[in-house]
This record gives sequence, C-alpha cells and structure tokens, in this order.
Amino acid sequence: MSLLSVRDLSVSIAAGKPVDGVSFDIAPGATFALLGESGCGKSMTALALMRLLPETARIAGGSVRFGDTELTQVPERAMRGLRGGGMAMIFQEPGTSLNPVMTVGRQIEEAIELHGGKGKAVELLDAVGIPDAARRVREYPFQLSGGMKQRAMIAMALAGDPQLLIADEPTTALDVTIQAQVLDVLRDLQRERGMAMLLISHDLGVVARMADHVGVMYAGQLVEVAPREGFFSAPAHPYSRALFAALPDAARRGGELASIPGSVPPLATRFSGCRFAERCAEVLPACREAPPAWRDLGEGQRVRCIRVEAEKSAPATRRAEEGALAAAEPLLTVADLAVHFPIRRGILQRTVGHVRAVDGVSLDLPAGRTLALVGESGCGKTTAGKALLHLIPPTAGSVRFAGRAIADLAARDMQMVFQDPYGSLNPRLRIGEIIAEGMRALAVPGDHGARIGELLVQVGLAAEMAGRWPHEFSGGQRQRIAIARALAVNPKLLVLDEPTSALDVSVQAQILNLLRELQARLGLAYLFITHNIAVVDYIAHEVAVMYLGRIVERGQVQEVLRAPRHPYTQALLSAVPRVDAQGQERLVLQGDMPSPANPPTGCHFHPRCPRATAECAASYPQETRLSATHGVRCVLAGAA
Amino acid sequence: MKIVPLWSDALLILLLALVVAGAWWSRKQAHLKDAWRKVGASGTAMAAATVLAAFVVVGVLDSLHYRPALPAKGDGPVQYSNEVLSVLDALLLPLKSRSEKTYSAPLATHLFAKESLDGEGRDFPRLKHGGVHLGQDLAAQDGDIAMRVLTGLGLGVALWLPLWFWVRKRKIGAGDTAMGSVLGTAFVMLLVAGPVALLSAGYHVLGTDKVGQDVLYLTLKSIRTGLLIGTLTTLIMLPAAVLLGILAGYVGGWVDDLIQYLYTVLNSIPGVLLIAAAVLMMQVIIDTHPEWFATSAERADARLLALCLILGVTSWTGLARLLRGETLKLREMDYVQAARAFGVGRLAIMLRHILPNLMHIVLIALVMDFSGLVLAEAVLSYVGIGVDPNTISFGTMINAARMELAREPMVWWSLAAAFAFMFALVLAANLFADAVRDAFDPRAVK
Repeated sequence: MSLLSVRDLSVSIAAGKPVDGVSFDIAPGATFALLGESGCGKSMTALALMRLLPETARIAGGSVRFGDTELTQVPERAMRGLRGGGMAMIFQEPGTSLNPVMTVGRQIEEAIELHGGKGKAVELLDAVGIPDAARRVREYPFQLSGGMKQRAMIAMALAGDPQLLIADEPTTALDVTIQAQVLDVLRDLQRERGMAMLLISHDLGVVARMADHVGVMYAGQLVEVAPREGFFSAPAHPYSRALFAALPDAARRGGELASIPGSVPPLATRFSGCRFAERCAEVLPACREAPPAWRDLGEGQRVRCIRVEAEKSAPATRRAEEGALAAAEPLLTVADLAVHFPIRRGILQRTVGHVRAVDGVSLDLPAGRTLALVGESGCGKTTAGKALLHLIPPTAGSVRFAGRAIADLAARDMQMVFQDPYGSLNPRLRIGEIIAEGMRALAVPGDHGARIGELLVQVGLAAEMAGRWPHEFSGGQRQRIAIARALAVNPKLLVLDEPTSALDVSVQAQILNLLRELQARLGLAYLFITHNIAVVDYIAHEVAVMYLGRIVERGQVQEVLRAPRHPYTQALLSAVPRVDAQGQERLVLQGDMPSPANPPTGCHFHPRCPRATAECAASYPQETRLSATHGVRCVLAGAA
Repeated sequence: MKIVPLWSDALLILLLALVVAGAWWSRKQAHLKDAWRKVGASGTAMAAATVLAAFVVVGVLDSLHYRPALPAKGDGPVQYSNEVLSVLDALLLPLKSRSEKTYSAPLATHLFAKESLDGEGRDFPRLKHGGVHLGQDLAAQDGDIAMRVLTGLGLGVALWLPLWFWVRKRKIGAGDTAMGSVLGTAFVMLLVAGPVALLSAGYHVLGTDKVGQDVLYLTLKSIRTGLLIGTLTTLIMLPAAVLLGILAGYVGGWVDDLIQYLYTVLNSIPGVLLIAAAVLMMQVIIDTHPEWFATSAERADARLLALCLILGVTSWTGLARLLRGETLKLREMDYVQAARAFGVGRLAIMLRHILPNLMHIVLIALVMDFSGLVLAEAVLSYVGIGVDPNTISFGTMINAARMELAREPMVWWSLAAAFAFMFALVLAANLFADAVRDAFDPRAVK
C-alpha cells in the first residue's frame, strides 16, 4: 500500500504542459527523488500535489491519491488541513521562506496551533539539530544563518507531524558543509518518524545519498523510474546516462565531458515522438515517430525508451593522460593580498572595525595552467578575484603580472567571467556591441567587426549572432558570449568566478569543454573560483582552499584532493555528496562559518575543527611545506 | 498678421519634436518596440491615447500665436493689435467674441439674474447672443435644440465613417494594435463633438461666467495650460533628476552625500510654501520690469514658465531618489564590473550601461507625474499662487467659480465644465501611464 499514488498527473499553463502524464508511488517511510534539469517540471509536479499551483496553471488531468483521499477532488477547505498536516513542503530558498518580523519560535508555534500538533517549538528546533534551541526560538530569522533557517523551515514543516515531506531542492542554496548537515538531519528525522519524502533535486550526489527510488524527469515526463541501486549502477535512459557522463570528475580529466547538445525544449513545444529525440546521441528514426512506451527492465526499473536492451551499461569513463607538469615562470604572483572593508558606526561614521574579507592571500599561477580557488560562500574567494583585477581596491599586498607590479585596473592582460550569465550582459546592447566594448575601450588594433565574428565562432556560436540581443540566448549561450567578450582583448589570464554554477549539469559540461579547449589552443591561464569540488577535480592543475579570507591549504590537485591535510579540506571533501560513495565515512562539521568581521583568535577554523587542541586558539599557524608545491596552515600537519 | 513665438510655444513644439524623434528612434530598438507594441495591444491604453491625442491637438492649436494686423489707417506702417491670438482663438472666434453681460445657464436664452428693465420692472433679460436666432419664438427652443443635436449626431457619424474606412482599407496597425478601441473612442468623441459644435453656433453650450465669457471657450483654452504645466515641468526637472540621480548612485562618496543632503533639504520644506515664495518673487520681478514684455500675453507666459520651473525644482527629488537607488543596484551588476575590467571610463559606463537601463523608470515617472502636475496647477491657481490671473486655466476657472457655489440657485456649470475636462484629461493620462508602466517595468508580471 503506497502513501502517495500519482497517476497520469498533468498540469497545463496556457498552451504548454509543464507536467504531462506523470505517475509514481511513494511508500510510507520511503524517499522518492525526482531528478532532472531546470525546466523539466519537477517543482510544478510538487506544487500540483500540494494544489499550490500559480494562478495561470491548473491541473489538467490525472489523479493524486494520498492515503484514502483523492487530492484533485477535495475542496480547498479540506486541502488546507492536509497541507502541513498530512503533507508538508520545504522550499529552496530558506531566506525568503521565513517571515522576517516574527521570531522563529512564534512561526513554528503558529504551525503547531494550526495543526493541533504535539510538542513545542523548542523541541522541534532541537530535533532538527539547532544548537542552543532555547535561545534560538526567541530570535528573528535574520539572526540565523542560511543552514539554520533551512532547519527552522524543516522544524516548521514537522509541526503538523506530516506523513509526507516534499523537499524542493532543500540544499541547493546552501554550502556543501551545511548541505551535509541538513541532509543528515532530514535523514535522521525520516528514520525516527517513519515519514515519507518526495525529494526534488538536480544533484545526482544528493539523490544518491537520500533516495530509495529515483524518477528522472525530462520535458514534463518521467523517462525513467528505478530503485537507487539499479539506477546508479546502470542508468537505462539515454538522458540519465548523459547526465552521468556530463558530471565532471577526476576520471574524465583531460578528456572531453559528454555534454548534451542544445537545452531543455521550451514549454509550448509540441512533441510527436520521444521528447529527448532532438538531443539524444543514439536517436533512431523510430524515436521521432511515436512516443515510446514504458518498458520494464526488471527489479523495479522502468524506462521510456525503445532501445534499452543493448545499451544497459554503466556510464562510460575515459581517462586521459595528465600533461607533464610545466615548471614555468609564474605569470601571476600575488603576495599577501588583503581586502578589508571598514565598518562605520555612529553619526560621524567612524571606523570601528574591519570586515577582513581577504586577509593575506598569496598565490602563484604559471601561464597556461588552472588554479582553482575553492571555498564556501563568504570565504572571500570572489573578493580576492576582483581585487586581483583592482575591481575592488586591495587594502594591502602586491599583484605582479608577468614580472610587472599592477597598481591600477589591469585592463588588457587579465579579464573576468562572472557567475550569473543573466546579469553579466547589458540587456540594452547587441551581442556585437558587448563584445566590441573592450576592444574599443582599449583601442585594440584591427578590424573589430571581423574579430567579433571570429570570437563568436571560437566560443561555439555563429558569427551572424552579433546583431542579436542578449535576451534571445539561453544561459549557456550567454556564458559563451561573456567568455568571448573577455577573450576580445587577448588576455593571458582569465578570472572565472563560478562560471558554471548557475547552469544545468549538461550545459556546465559544454562550458567546461569550451574552457579546456580554449586553454589548450590559446595558452590561457585560469584562476577558477568555485565551490564545486568535482569541477576542480576535472579542470584544475592546482588548488588553493580558502577559509575566512585566508588560504588554508594549497598544492597540486592530486595532493590536495587525494591527500588533504587540513581538517577543513578533509571536511569539505567528505561533505560533497558523491554518486559512487555509498557508506563512505564522513566528517560532518558543526556550526557555521564565523563572521569575517570578528574572526576567532588563533586558527580561524579551530572552533569547528574536530581535532582542535589548545595550541590552535593561540596563534594563526604558519604554513607547513609538505612538498615543493603542497602547503598547509595547520599545526597538526607540522606535527605529523 | 505677425507671428508671436512665445517661449512656452517653442518649448512645447520642441517637446513634440523630441517625442516624434524618440518614437522614430525606438522603432529600431527591439526592446522598446516590444514594449510599445504591448502598450498598443492594450485597449484601455489606446482609448486613453486617443483622448490624449484630442487634447494635444487642441493644445497645439492654442500654441500657435500671432498678432492680427489692425485695419490700415492711411498709408502708415501696418499696426498690429496688442492682443495676442492663437489659431484656436481664430477657429473659436464666434465663441470668443459673443460674450454676454454676466452669468447665464447652459443653453439658456436669458441671463441668470433678474435686472431692472427699462420701464418693465425686474425680469430676466434676453441674452445678446444665446438663442438670438429664435427671435421671439421661445417655444421653438426645444425643437431647435433637438434638431441641432440630431444633425450633430449625424455629422459625427459622417465624420467618423471615412476614418473607419481609411483604417480598414490601409490596414493601419496591422497585427495586435487595438485599433478597435481607437475607433470606438473616436466614435464616442465625435458623437459628443458634433452636437456640441452645432449647438454652440446658436447657444452657450456650457453657459457663461461672471463677465459673460463662454465657458466652453474657457475650458478649451485651459487645456493648453494644463498640458504645458504637465509636460514642461517634467522636461525641466528631468535632466536634473537623471543627472543627479545617476551621479549620486554611481560616483558615491561625497557627491552622493551632497546630492542626498540637497534633496532631503528640499523635501523637508513644505512644497506649497516654497512654491508660493518663489512665485511671488517671480511676480515682483515681472512687475518691476514691464519693459521686458511687449504684450500682456508675453507677461502671462513668463509667469507660466516660471511656475513650470518652480514646480520642476521642487519635484525632481522623487525621481532622483528612485534613480539613485536603481543605479546603486545597477553599478554592482556584472556587466558594469566587466566594463570596468576593460578600463571603460566612468562617463562611458554611465551613458552606455546605466542610463539605458534606467530609461523605463524615467518614462514611467514622466507619464505618471503628468496627471499629478495638472492637478497641482489647479490647486495652486485656486490658492492664487499659480498662473497669471489673465491666463485661462482649470485652476483660475475653479477659483472664479468657487464663490458662486454658495449662491442660491447655484452657478454650477463653470465648475462642472472645468471638472469634467480635467477629469477626462487626468483619467486618460493615468490609464495610459498604467499601461506604459505595465509594458516597461521589467518586474511586472508578464
């Protein structure tokens, strides 16, 4: 007997159908994960189950049975009792899900009163692992960190003692170490309460860690449903396999990532055959003729594809040879770079302290290599990247580029590519004008028009796109344009600030391939700022791990990622949910990153460090050299 | 005839030229074209635009001024009248010239108040012009009015049909432009205009005021004043608001502090007080320099411009604050950072990256402020610190009519006419502004 049974659920918005004939079951206490890229209809499915669809959307057909209730039939009044009571939902963005003018405790109590649930706010907060819950109930949302807010949201969802928890990308907005904490909380709660969970995620690692059953969604349909073991050992649908193949990791280093060409079809598309046919590498003529029927592959694995018998194999892996280590002169040398933002108080705006966003960072980057600057949000990695280019004036330290000291905007030799492909192109300028801006400002000689076409081709677009507007392009294409803009002035170094974190995994693979290819062809050096360890593993030659404005460990990628010596690096690596890491021992950090305005004494990491000693609080550790390239700032490394 | 270009005429023509040039330019800008197409597709917006267009036509006709030549006396040089007339005056000459002695009700044949007649005691005297064609046959008045209304309706339809055919045949606004509502609004307006035109040939359709002037003529003349105040003020304050707003937001530091102090100070002075002080000062200057002005029309025009200037000076703060906030957001956008990474100069960034992304706010503020300013003029003129008393405006009309509301029976038509015209103008402007905001505001639900 399943708790939730969805049959042929369809949702329509105007002419389009974001959800089209979705069927799945969730057993009590089990976790079903909906997996897919953005725009596939995952969230819309969840909202339809809760009957919380936006005004323009409506349920066009199908049935949703929750226990004995047919949810599509019950009146809105009864539905209100079920929401929160029978099934509760948590959203992606914890920051906007809580009312900022009410205390956390009051908000949880409100949910308890509404559903006549048992327990007190303090107990619930305790249950979701918030330390010092008695004090936290009286605090306002702004006093909590992102991870704590998400846990408070979970506490609120638990107030009605629901049988089903719908978690819509519950950890996407959180850092990996916090994500690990929240996922653990969800898992423990589920075990204790026998609660079923519908998990919506685009992250294969999160799904591998949490789910019992997996449903892969594409363009509004489920294309594959399978138990976790079956799915992760042998994904059957070409789309599922492409998702695995697009994941960057060390095994694919130097090789090309399998990217899915194109992007998810728009809402109003009319399909005649298989919805994935246009992007499928193994498409047959028959695929375009009729929608494929479900095929049962045994052991609960079902797939909507006509050619699965032969292809049921593990995702292909390619290992490429690592290039020889180039011991070249460093192109970029950064010494003791610091960026302090003054904190001003009072009528006279006197400086009462400093936010030490970047506090003594030293880096070396040879030409043609990639240095990854890794860290969680708020550690100062983006500020460091901007300070290199003097977009933010550094407070102290020196930046030398090819032997020259840089004291002003380093316009020509270093360029930056930004995270958000939607915010980085001026919507009022044509693509050609955007790319030409740098050439014009720096008076690059040559025929700009011809060069624009050349650049567009180089980043995988067409030369005639120069006359079009940014809004006509998808996220991945915009990121290509941003790269072309940076390349227009022939820089030798690109600062890449999370260039793929706003993109879907298949598009991320396209951009990573492009970056790798450009590096090989143009000999560019990359400073790759990211929080995604898998991307680092794929593309970087050297890694520097940042924590609270300082680099705690640096070295070759094998040294840092295979044999991390700093406890923070170890925790960061083990917190990353991996597709293939079942039952690995994990090091879960407690608490959140402290404020850079008031860093802890001694080693910044010692309050959260599981191996801290009295010595750690005394002074900031000096760098211990473990090899010519590998350095760690930890007292333990020196002792060992 | 000698053409008299008043300053306000020149500015109004300049403004119209700017609007036309802007429209021409935005035809080539994809995002602007899209947004205007959205405005065009909205029925309400197009109906409002039709009404506004009618007001603008009246306003422009009233902005072409000249001094008629006086009848030649002998062979001397041609003398010109001291009175400055506009094209609208010439068109409405019958209305303008046929003034009565004092109040008369709409469509009346007699004055509103009893007077001593020669030897016949006190009675309502006949009007000099209203209904004079009837002669002594006063019983025929109802029939005459009905006749004129019917003919007028017919005339309206007759004028509308060619328009309809023209639109149909030329397929103007092919696509999604709501031509239906344009035609519908034009139909209603012509149906009203036809009878009014015919009736006004024989009667005072909206009555006469205290000195016997035709109220219909006064309301039509008021339109220009309203339009000028609504548009010129924005034109004056716009450069200041845009420049200071962007400077404060982008440059920051002491420039930001200075501009913020400036508008906080301006905002904390009660607006009416500031305007009263400034207007009275201007009045003193105008009065002490009679040699600057050849005619009284030029003097009234100077005061009108002064009022626009003063309203502009006191009203740029809101828009500047809005633009400053938006600039603060935009300057952190990645495309501005990217431009800075290329070493693009501050001015170029402000012009290329900030300003074009603020234009929707400017446009929205422009149309939203218009109706507020028309109303502000009415209020200020009512208080006596608005336009020159000789300038005909909604405010002066209301001011002149206020005492008569206390009379029994009440003289209501002056106020009612001013109210109705102002209401139509402001409502049309507001509806149009709403549609413009919906189409241009990127945060609006698409």
